[in-house]
Amino acid sequence: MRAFECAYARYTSEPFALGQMLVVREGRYDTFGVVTGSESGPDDPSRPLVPRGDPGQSAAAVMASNPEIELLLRTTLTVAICGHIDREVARPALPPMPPPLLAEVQAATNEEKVRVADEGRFLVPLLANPAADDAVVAAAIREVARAAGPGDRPFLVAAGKELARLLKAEPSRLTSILRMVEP
Amino acid sequence: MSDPNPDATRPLGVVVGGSLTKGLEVRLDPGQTAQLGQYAKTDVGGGLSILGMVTDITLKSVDSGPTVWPPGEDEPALLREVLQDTGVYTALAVDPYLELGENGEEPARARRLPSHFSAVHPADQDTLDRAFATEGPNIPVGAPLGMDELEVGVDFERLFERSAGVFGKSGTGKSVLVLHLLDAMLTRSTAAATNSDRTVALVFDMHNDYGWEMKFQGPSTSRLRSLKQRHQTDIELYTLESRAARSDGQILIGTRDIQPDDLEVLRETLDLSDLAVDAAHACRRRFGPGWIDEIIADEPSAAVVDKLWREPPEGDVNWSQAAAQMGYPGSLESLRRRMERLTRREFVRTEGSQFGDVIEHVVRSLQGGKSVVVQFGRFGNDLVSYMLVANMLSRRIWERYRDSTERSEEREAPNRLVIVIEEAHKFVDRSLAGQSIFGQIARELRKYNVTLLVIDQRPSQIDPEVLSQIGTKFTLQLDSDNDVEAIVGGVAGRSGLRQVIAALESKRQALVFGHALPMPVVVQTSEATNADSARASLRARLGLPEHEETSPAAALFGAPPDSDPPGDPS
Repeated sequence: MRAFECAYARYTSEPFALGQMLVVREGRYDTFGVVTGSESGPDDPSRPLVPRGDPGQSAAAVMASNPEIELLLRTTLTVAICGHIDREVARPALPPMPPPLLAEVQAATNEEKVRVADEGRFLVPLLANPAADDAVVAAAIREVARAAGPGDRPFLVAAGKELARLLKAEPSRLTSILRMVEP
Repeated sequence: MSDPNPDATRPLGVVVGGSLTKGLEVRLDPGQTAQLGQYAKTDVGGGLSILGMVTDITLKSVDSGPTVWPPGEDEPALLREVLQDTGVYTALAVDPYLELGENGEEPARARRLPSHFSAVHPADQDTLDRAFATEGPNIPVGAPLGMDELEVGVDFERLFERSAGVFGKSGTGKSVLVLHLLDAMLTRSTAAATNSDRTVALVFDMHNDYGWEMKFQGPSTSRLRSLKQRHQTDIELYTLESRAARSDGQILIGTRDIQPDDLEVLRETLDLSDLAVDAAHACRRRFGPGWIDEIIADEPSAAVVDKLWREPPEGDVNWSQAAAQMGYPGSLESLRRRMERLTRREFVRTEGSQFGDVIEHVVRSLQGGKSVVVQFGRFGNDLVSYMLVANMLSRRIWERYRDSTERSEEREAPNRLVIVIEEAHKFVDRSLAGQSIFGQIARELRKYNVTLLVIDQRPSQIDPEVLSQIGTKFTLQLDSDNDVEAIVGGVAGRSGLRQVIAALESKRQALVFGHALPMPVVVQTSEATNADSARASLRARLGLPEHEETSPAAALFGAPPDSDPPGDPS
């Protein structure tokens, strides 16, 4: 209910970024979430990855010269749910039901990001998720600010104030997140 | 927080706490500003709203974090912006004063509180009109702080019904404010149907401000038309100087007019010891009404010798012997020296009684509906002259008013008299309030239709009992904490008012509170002006036609119907 995992069919060197907002557009609701983690590894845990390639060879070159590896590896993302759209109404809250299994996960559009973020209120479900650490929260705020375009300052301030309200007992955490948002 | 409220239609903030005794705590909305002394209102339900005054502004933090680790200069600007109104915020202390109904009910003292999170708005003109509605005319005193386009007035009747005071340090605008009040009084009075309906003033004008013109000292000297120019037929100017221009008469005091009681109030100013005052009483008893003339003579007269000795001593008798004989060896000599100096003044005449005529003229003018301004001219800086004349004249005129009032069952009661004195603390300090006529007038309220308008820089020096009888107080900037405390002592919400007074600007800002107002108000007092439009506006506020209607009789004779023409009592 609070998080879901999504997996690429195989290994990908450029998965969705940390803090990026994703959407599942299937089921009763469009469910939105923020990437909190990304993990790539062997599909079969009993067959761990061993070093390959020559010294000085890049990862991309190793992959290119060993195309079978990509078939054996998988990239999985962890996504913290931060809102949903219910009959055209964006709600920065957990949906009543999780997204369906095997549903396709896509990148949210800029317009969706701004709507669901709702001037920072998407941080309420996000911060309630233990997986959303400071780096994720800061990245999520930056992501929506980018989506808001050149006039992103009001969003940044509003989201910061929401964050301040939520972290009123943790002023040092607030400070460190805001430093990451606007170094 | 000195900027005016940028958006009067938006709420100032929301109620987040408070009590009836300690006031409301209002969290200021982001982007709003408020000023000390500003009016604010909030609904309490049932069609009632509370009108209060901002009495303090505090910067607060929700916890210690932002204040223990405040964002430094090198921190991102976002951090500061975010912490504003979240981690840190501005809180207003609002003292609730009045409960106002929707249907024109009379405002009542606030006895209930709004609920949490009630929106607090800046007060608008409609709210102020309801709060300050008076049955009769009112005198506009200026614009409430932060509301330049609004105006409040004090109830004319209630203002002069009891004594009033204008307090403030030098240069704050006391004189202009007093001139405005007196102008309003005379404007309203002139329109009264009968003399007994009039309110008249007896002004002891130390620095020649309230007669013909008021001079302003500053980068350039300017002049303001004063009472005589504004109310030519309703003012009589008296002066202590013999050759003063535009004088209707000279104040003269004969040595026989001065009683030992008149010296009591001068004890400190003349540096008279208790024994010297006792000696004055003894001299008056033994030597009769001419006692001053007797004691300022170089040698005791034969009459004095006769009264002191059954058998006069051998040879010439000197004052040392006379003093010893009377039992005042040192103090009589001291009294003699001071009386000698006192009688050197131009308006004090030896060997005679002059004052009766003066009193007669002044009383006739006052009871005839004219106000009297006594100008001190070059004696204005001589506190002894000021106190002597003000005290002697006031005492005797008050006695006449007292007699008239006590006989009023047989005759018409006298009109209301307001005595205006400057440097009031010299007359009614703690040691003198019991003896001074001014202390008595203040304490007796309006018993004999005589009240005071005191002007003072040091209210803390005034006897607290007298100060507590001052009904309406106009307080401009004061420097001393003691003075501020004296003004607000015993008043509900005094800690808030103390803050408000402390924050007044050095010119033309006054806190007005007391009998003539339902709640305190901080005003930006009107600019001094000679403009006719200001007079027309004043007349309108006083419920009079914009232009003065001069009666044919007044046009011909320049006097109200039943008063005597001005004469020179000298």
